[in-house]
Amino acid sequence: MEHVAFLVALMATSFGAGIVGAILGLGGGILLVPLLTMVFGINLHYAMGASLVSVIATSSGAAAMYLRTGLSNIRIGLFLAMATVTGALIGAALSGVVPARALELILGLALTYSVVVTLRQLKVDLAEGQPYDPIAMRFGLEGAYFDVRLGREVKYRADRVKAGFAVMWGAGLLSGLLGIGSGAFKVLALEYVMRLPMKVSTATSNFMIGITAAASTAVYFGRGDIHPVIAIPVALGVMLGALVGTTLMGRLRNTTVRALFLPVILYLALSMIARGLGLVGS
Amino acid sequence: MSRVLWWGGVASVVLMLIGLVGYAVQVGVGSDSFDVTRAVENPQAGRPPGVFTSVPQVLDGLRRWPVDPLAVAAVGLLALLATPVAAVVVAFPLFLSEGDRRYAVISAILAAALIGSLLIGGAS
Repeated sequence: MEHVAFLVALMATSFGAGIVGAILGLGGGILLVPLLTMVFGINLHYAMGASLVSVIATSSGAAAMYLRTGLSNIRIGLFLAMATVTGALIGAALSGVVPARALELILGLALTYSVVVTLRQLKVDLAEGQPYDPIAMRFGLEGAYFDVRLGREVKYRADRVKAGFAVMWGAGLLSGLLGIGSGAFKVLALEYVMRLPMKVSTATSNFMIGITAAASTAVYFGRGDIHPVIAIPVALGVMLGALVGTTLMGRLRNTTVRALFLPVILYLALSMIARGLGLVGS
Repeated sequence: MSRVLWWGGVASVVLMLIGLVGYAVQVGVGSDSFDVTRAVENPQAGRPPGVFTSVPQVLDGLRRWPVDPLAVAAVGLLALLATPVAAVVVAFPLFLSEGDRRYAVISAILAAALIGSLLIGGAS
């Protein structure tokens, strides 16, 4: 019965991570790895493998919905996925060699950065304009969507594609290295570097997350880092949590709710950094 | 594409659930000796029996009788992995039929990279 209790506890924790992740707009992955390693004492590599599986599971459902609404731009997504997939494959290969402490340190820093992005997201406005980036013109990195809040169609085209491609490569590298979806970094490339509307950025990033994570997961699977007894309850828990979290989001609408969770996330981030620096025993 | 992602996700979740419930029943009854906590804390001590690292191993688990529930769960995991890859594969004929050769090539390159990594990861 001890095993069954373990499975239930694992699922419940992942469920919580899924809810908080959805409310904050972070994937569950970046919260899961610190929780699994610090609370459950799970080996870092198994935690990262389980997180990747949960990332694909949540992204598939959400991406399917976003594709139907036409918010995610498939061309922009596939074009940039060439960068994230290459980065992810290199990152996943490296994560088998890089010492666990260094990984924990990088994860802590990535989590801290995600919190900063989340804070900034609270007050972002729609950018207008039609930039003329030659690569964007050539590859048709543009589109339009109907904005419900503004009550009209918004046209957009990507700007600074080269820089965006480079940031995407980095996002892929982090995803493979740390076993996370790295949605915050993908949104950084789409929204801040390429200046795409926030809704399009979020939806397109979601579509790309699954593709990127699939590349890394294959490497993790081959190395034996995907432990079904850990990965499956975690993935199911996060999926359910994300579902509940998104439903809650629609009702809460309150930015203070997001702010409530930030200290918790910051605590997780700082603990990971402390572990990485060897300040606390791991 | 959205249908591929949706149904791929649903199918793999169902398989993973069946496998996990089967496993919980198996260990709950106490017939299995696989100690999760030990495997969790010390993976270097040897590959715990529940971890599949290749497709042939998963197939072996399925061929056994009674079927290894963790092998069923592993099939669910692999199906989940294959879902985004399938979406990219489906994009190729869609772009071709639209006459967009540039993006047909991009989706083909991506699909090749993803399938390649799956094959290398799954065969070793």
